[in-house]
Amino acid sequence: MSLTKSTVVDQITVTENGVVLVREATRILEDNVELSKAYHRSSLVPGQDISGVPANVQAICNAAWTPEVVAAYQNQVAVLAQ
Amino acid sequence: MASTINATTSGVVTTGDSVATLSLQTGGTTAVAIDTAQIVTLSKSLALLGSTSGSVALAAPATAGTQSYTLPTAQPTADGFALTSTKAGTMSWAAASATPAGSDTQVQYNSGGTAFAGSANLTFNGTTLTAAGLAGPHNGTVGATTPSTGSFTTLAASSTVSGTGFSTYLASPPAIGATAAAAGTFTQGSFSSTVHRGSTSGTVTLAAPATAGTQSYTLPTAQPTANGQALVATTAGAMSWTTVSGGSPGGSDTQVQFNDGGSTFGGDSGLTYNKTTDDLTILGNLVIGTSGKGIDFSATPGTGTSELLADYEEGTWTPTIGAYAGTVTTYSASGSYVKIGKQVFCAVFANISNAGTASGSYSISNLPFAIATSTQVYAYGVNVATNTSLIGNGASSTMLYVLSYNGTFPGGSGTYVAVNFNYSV
Repeated sequence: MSLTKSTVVDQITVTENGVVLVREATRILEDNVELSKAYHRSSLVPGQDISGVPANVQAICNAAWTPEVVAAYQNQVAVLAQ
Repeated sequence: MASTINATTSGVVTTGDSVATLSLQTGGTTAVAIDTAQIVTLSKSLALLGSTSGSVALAAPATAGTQSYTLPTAQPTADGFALTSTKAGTMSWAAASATPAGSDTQVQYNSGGTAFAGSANLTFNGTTLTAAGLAGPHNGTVGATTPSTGSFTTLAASSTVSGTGFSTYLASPPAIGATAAAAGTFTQGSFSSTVHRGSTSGTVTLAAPATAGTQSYTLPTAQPTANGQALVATTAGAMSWTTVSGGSPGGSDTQVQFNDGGSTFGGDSGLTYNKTTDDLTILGNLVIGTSGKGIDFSATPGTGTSELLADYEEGTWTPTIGAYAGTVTTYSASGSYVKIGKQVFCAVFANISNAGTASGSYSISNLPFAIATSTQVYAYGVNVATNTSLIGNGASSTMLYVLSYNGTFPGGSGTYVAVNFNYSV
């Protein structure tokens, strides 16, 4: 019997305004049979620092966050802040 | 006694009266007898001496019986004629042999009872006998490997075709009852279909599929051992009788059936159906295998934009704490969420140990899901350190602001923020 724990990014969602929603799944396996699974979520807004996030998430962010998307998002936030 | 015939006696030997037979005897036995009808009888044979040497003898057979032959009245009309005879012994000259009829290689047959005849339809070249008009289901060359042309003879219903090698060597068999040639080469035991007549009426046809490939099925060696058995086959086509599996449900009463192991029905107490109440009971999870699918409540009372519950998720998230103005220096925060359908319920607990230059309100960002409409997010909570109520509202798709119930800054360093909020995605 062996217990293993793995954490993977199992879902990446890009919203209409460029926000990237990331879901990490942490699984506890016994002899490769899943005993439990827990999710942990985070969101990344266009233009924010993404150093330290998984490479596959960075790749999605870099693809989605064009200068136009980043500018539009920042403008959206500024409007809401007023 | 010796008598000499000379010119004086003119060589005449006469009998003493009109009924006596003149006999010449040698050794006490008559060798030549001449009766009153001038018939000369030789007891042995007549030897004719050659003009220079030798002799030709004419002799009767040892058991001659009484026979009479009358020579022809004239000599042969052509060289090589033979002496033939009628049953009465009247002899005549005739050609010694007949000339073959027809052409080269044509087999001779009796034509009309007295004459030879030949035909191009029946020839023999010394090796192969060829018949163009064999009576039977096929015209053709016996032993040939390719079909011949020409019309086929249709078998009558009562006709019998038999013979060793028949199926092997006859080319291009027609279908039973066909009147025209069938295409292809006839190989041993191969038919496109076979028709079996019922004892009273009707037929049963066994036929190969149109695109048969090359398949072979071997029938079982014995009849079924029980009624209802089915004919099954191995991948090699070896057939056998077997009791039909799957004819009986697996498991127990009310258990929903599933393919258990690939070839049999199975049932399990983990999945049952009550036909009276229509309840489907599952002891395990109901796993939605396709994104966007879920449980459809459209048959229940009430209507809505959507009555499909297509998502449920729970988990944690890490809130990012900031401020409307300035920055928070040190904090720790944790969050949890539950998403039911399109609605997200979040809980946040943050320990702001060093508020730094923060002022106005605290911001909570890094939400687990993006907010559909930020103006429709409302938060309620408490500053645990001061027991002061907190409120909040959405600021962007992933951030909201939290401040005291009276609109002031919740508190500086040492503030504990516990906030719940929910929103649509």
